Amino acid sequence: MTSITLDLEFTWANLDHDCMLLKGLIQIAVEDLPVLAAELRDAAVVHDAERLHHLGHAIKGLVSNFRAEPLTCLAEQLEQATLGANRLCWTQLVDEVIDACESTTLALQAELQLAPL
Amino acid sequence: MTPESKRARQRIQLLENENARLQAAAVTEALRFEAYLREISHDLRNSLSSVLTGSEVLLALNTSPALAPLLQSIQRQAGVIAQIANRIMADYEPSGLPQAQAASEELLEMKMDSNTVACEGKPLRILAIDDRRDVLLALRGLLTNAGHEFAEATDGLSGLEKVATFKPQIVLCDINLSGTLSGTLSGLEVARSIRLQSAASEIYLVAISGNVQVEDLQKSARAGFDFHLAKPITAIALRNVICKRPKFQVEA
Repeated sequence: MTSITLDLEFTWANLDHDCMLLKGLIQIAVEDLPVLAAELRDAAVVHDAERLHHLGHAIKGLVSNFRAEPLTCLAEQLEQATLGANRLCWTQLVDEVIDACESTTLALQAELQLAPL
Repeated sequence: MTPESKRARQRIQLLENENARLQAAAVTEALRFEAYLREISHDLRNSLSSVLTGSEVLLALNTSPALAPLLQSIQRQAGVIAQIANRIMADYEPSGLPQAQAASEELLEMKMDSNTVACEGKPLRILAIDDRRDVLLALRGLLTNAGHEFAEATDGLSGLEKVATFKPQIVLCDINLSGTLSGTLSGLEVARSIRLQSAASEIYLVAISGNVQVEDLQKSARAGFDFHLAKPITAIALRNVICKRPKFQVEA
């Protein structure tokens, strides 16, 4: 399981310190990350580099809201790697991104339950 | 006032002056360090970009399969450091504006509209086009909280329909709409279409994207966008863009 860091202060400030918006944004990430990870797995099976590129971009965008590391970095690396022709560059990355998606989802779920939002 | 109390007051004044001087010196030092961090991060990112390109080429050529894991490791670690350098440049950008504006100032000449529109107390009609619901949620919340009239679309075609019916004064449009995958309109095509409509020529068009390299900004400018806003969107950056409506201009 990947170790996760989140910066919810950063997210909250970006949302003008609106607690309901923050909660809504976390909720969306908790719902969408597993879907994106599953799509990533499917795209990797059929070696669809274009789809992987777009999914990497989507995951990066979603988790950069929370400065979630290492997922933001990994997703960006996947986005870049899938532009290249060499499949070796991204096969291992896909597994790491999927693992980080799972860990980040759990971390965000915990924030939803714990934080007095 | 007794001579003692006068001396005491002078002493307090001296201490206050000294304190202010020390605080000013600390601020100056901090600013100098921030400038140094920005500068070194910029140099570092450029060097790492060459490393990433070189290793990508070597991997693609596959001349030495035994070296592939090492090259991949170099790529990944250089990628992480480049990302940190980007963050530093964004966080310590002098004006407090996001990375996109900083990058745009590098190659694009920033030209503030002389007739800056004050938006305080003046609700505007704003349309957001983005296929990501987290972005739409944030924009909807921030803009309706500020009193603006808000409409949204999740793809380029319905976005263009909303332009015709909602008649927005400002359009915020994602560049990487997933429609690009299924063959429908990209954000750049949406901008070009809006600019071709004479009725919509006055709309202030803002590109929103996680990609803020100089070439991304140039593409936005050429498609007809007035400005390029980096994701994740911050309340401060959004307010700045909505209220001041800055414009960029590609250098000749």
